[in-house]
Amino acid sequence: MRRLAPWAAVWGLTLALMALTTTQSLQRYRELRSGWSWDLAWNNQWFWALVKGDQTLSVRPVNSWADEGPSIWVHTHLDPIRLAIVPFYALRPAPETLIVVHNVLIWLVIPAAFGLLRAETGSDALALSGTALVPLTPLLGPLVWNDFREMEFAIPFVLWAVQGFRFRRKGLAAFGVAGMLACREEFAIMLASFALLPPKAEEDVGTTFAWARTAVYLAAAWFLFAFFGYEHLMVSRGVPDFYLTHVGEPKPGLAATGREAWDFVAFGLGSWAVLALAAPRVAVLALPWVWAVSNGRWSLSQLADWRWHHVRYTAPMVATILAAGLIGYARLGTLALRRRHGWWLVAGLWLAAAAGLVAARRDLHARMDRIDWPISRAEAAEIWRWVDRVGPDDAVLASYEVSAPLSSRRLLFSNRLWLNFPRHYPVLDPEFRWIFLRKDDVQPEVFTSQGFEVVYRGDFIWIYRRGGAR
Amino acid sequence: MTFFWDTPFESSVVFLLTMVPAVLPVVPGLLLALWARRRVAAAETSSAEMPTDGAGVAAAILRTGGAPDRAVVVATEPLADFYDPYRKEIRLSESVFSGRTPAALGVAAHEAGHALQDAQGYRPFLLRTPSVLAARLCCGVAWMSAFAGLVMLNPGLCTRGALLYSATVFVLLCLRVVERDANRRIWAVGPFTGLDAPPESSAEPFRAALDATTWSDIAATLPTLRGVWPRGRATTGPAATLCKSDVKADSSVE
Repeated sequence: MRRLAPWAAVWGLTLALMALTTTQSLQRYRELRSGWSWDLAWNNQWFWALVKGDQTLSVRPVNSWADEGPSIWVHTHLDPIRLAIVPFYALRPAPETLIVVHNVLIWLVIPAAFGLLRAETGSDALALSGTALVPLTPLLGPLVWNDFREMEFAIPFVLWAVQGFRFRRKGLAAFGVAGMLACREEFAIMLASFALLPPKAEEDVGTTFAWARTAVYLAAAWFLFAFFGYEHLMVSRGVPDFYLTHVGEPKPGLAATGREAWDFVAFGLGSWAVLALAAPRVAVLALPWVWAVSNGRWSLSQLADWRWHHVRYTAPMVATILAAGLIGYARLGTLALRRRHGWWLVAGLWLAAAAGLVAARRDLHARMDRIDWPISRAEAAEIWRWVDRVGPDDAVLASYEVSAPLSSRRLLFSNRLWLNFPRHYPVLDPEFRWIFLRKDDVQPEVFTSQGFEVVYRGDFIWIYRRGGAR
Repeated sequence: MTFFWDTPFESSVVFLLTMVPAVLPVVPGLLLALWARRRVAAAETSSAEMPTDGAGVAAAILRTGGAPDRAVVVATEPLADFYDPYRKEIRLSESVFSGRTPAALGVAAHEAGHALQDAQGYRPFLLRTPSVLAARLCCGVAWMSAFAGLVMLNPGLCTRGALLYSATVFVLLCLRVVERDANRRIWAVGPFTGLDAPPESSAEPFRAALDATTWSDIAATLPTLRGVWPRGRATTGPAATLCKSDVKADSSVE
């Protein structure tokens, strides 16, 4: 019973966090304030088309190296974890299901962190104390509120893989690596870097080399044959070149990158970055990811505007620094316990770490509080009333901001990028019955002349309906 | 989608015009590696019986060279016939450990030379282990990239793989300075068996085998098909370890 108690506490915390943030995320979704509605619409339509539709997409995101769809199998990323989610989605095919799955998968980081800490320290109490710090990780907040992002699901798998590699546990390493690789192709690069991950116990150079070789060859095979091969067969023969060109595009200078990196590390990860210094050979694995995200891909300052949903790009950095920080905490905690009044030292360490994390988290939340949401809560409630009236077979033209709730259908289009235009736009084919567009996007006459009438005039969204709709 | 067999002639022309130039960067490295492999293979042809085995000669060199604290152990792939500077042990494959051919003794003696470099504080040796391990991994990735490029008819991937391969071979070529120094140290400590020098009939094949070992890392860059998953937690064990005194006791030379 005593052996089960720590795990019971860990799973209790995990379930509580899942429940809390799922509630928050669903609330944000109902208020049309989730990450980026068009991306959620795409993800939802992808699953919906597989489970209930004809496996074609009308919601097609733009990508640097290829275009998505119209077949759902013409997919610009390699993330087979989607296939594992399909049975759950089939139970209730709706965006809310994806939001729940997202929250559940991300919070698996709690048991993964506990397992890593327990293995590193051999102490349940020390492991529990370190695990209790994980929910305070500043960037985890925006990451869990960010709709459905398969890239972010990799965080717990990275921790399991790190534990498997450090303790030379083949089963755990294989599970972690499989999960990482299933989340997105970038994690193959991270897997290759595990060749540098120091083992926990001293070993001969042959064993070290065998594990390094496994990591590098598996990563290369996954990236070259699985990812490029899939893209070559399903998307375009030029994808490998386009992808590599996209990676090599001009980037900001050293000073600008350094400033962004400081912002990410100090405010995005808080105390974990300091604790990671106690495990420098693990922390070094994070450097390429800190660099990659700071080098023009995203900026923490964008948490204060609509671009906050790009926070997903920080997932590899968060995973690696969290892993290093947990190992650093385990080392410092173990060292402290060897001294007199060791538990007091651990308490001091925990309080200092928690204070740093809370301070950084408050800063991030303050940034997110500055987001200027275009749709008020009252208007969102009104929009939902109309969304509920859209028939399952009606084609819809919708602004990005309101697209997710309308995405469980075959035909959903938008008017921002050419890829999302419906055929003959702005003339709409007869199957279009509903339009949810920004007030000032298009002159109403363009649609009223096609038989639409304006049924709702909001401060941000106007809703049009054509004969035959409910 | 069009496959090769749908338009064989056009596909062959496209292949020749795009893929052949793409793999050209591999040629310098590949030629050098083939030459190295031939050199190593030539040294392995001699079947002359040597007066001691690989473990014996390695232990004798360590003893004579002033590094008696290094162990000689039997190890399995992926990293056999390699000096481990972290554990201070010479890892020999079973065939080299107990082999009595000039090639086996050459490999064992060469690795003992690296142990002497380590013991004597030869600074360039610090680069050897990380460079050789990284080179082996880079070679695998290079061949995979080139092969993926060929399969997908993607010249970019082929060229990147070919360039990585040749660059890796070039690094190993530079590292031959360290390899040759290891052999130089062996001859400097002689008579290295601590016994009599090898019989005249075996001395020349042994010398050729020792020289060939400086090319073995480059020869090993040529692709082989082996499993990539680690086979076990430990590839060596106490039972396989021989200290200097053990070697003397086991050796049938005395």
